[in-house]
Amino acid sequence: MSITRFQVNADDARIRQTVQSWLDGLRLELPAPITLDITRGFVPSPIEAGRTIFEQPAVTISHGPPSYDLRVAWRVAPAYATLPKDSTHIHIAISDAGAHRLDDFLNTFLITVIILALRRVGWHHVHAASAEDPSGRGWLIAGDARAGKSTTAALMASRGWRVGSDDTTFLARDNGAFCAWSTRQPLALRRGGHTLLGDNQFKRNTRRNKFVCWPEQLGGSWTNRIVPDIILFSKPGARVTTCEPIKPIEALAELVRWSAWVMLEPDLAQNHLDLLNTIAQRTTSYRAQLGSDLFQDPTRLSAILP
Amino acid sequence: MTATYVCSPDIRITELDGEGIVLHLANRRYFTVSSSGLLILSALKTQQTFDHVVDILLGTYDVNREEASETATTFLAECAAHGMVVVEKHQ
Repeated sequence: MSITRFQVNADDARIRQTVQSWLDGLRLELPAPITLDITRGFVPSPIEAGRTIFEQPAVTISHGPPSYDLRVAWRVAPAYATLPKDSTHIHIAISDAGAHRLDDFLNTFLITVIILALRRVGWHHVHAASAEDPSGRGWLIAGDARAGKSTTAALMASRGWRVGSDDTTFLARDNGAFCAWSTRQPLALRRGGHTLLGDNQFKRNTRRNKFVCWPEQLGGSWTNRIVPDIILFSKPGARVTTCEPIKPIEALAELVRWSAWVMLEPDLAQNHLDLLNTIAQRTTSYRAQLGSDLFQDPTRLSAILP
Repeated sequence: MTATYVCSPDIRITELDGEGIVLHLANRRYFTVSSSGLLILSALKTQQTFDHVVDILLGTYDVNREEASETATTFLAECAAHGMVVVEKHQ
């Protein structure tokens, strides 16, 4: 079966090659083609880009008349993307300064464009780690940047689990059910997490100021797709890990919280919200505190669930 | 002077187990609403008067008019304050 991937067109061969290679490296199996047309040259100022609707570090998302297409601007070394409302054909302009910082371009600007592009094919971002345990149950761990997602994902990998992502997951409908897709990216732990894990496979990533490692290096494997059965909404814990079951409506509210892109683009919001609703109904969810006891016994996570 | 109420075009609603989650896209906030709140917001997909909202509550719950009016008043005021419902006053 052939896999649908991103198609990159660019007038600059180096940019085309670098972007295509980065996108292929994410190993996403798209449900429909997404095309990026990249032009190197003049980049309009973000001020011309309409009303700001969302901001991330170094990236502004806006829209405005006449087309109300979504516009994404990279403020650092200017680049600019236009995402038409009903199309997966995306136009990107990158400045010469941006072309000299392709690594930053990919990991701060283009990743945002890709998240927005994937919404157009029904994949909705959630700030969560994903994994599958040895018995085939799918897990999502949602929470903020210090909630323990990456460390827990690394612990899961160290016990032979299949790990999808430690941070960025895409929820999608799948033949009447749903699933969670992940990009192929290394697990990235803060200082301390990898030390506690006692593993020397981690390498320092200076750009992210984190320590990175592939699940395979920890004894696990990578998977691009899981079907979630269990969702943990996690907070960094004290010493002992706890999990408290929550009602589906509470799980839905938490999913909305960790899937913040649901608020963008009115035409896509209902579809995104309804998908979260389906997932909240059909999974079992917990409020969890991930404690340091998991370092002694990662299997405790499965054991303490009612 | 009479008033009519209608949902803001900026909101999206989903129902789960009789309760609801309401997104306010313009404010980027979300709210959980009870079954009665969900019932009212569902009715307000089209413009409705206060009396009609009260009648809907009376037709669904075992409450008297005074209790239904109080529920409607409180809920509509809160929704209006958060921009979830648009109030139009008519002479």
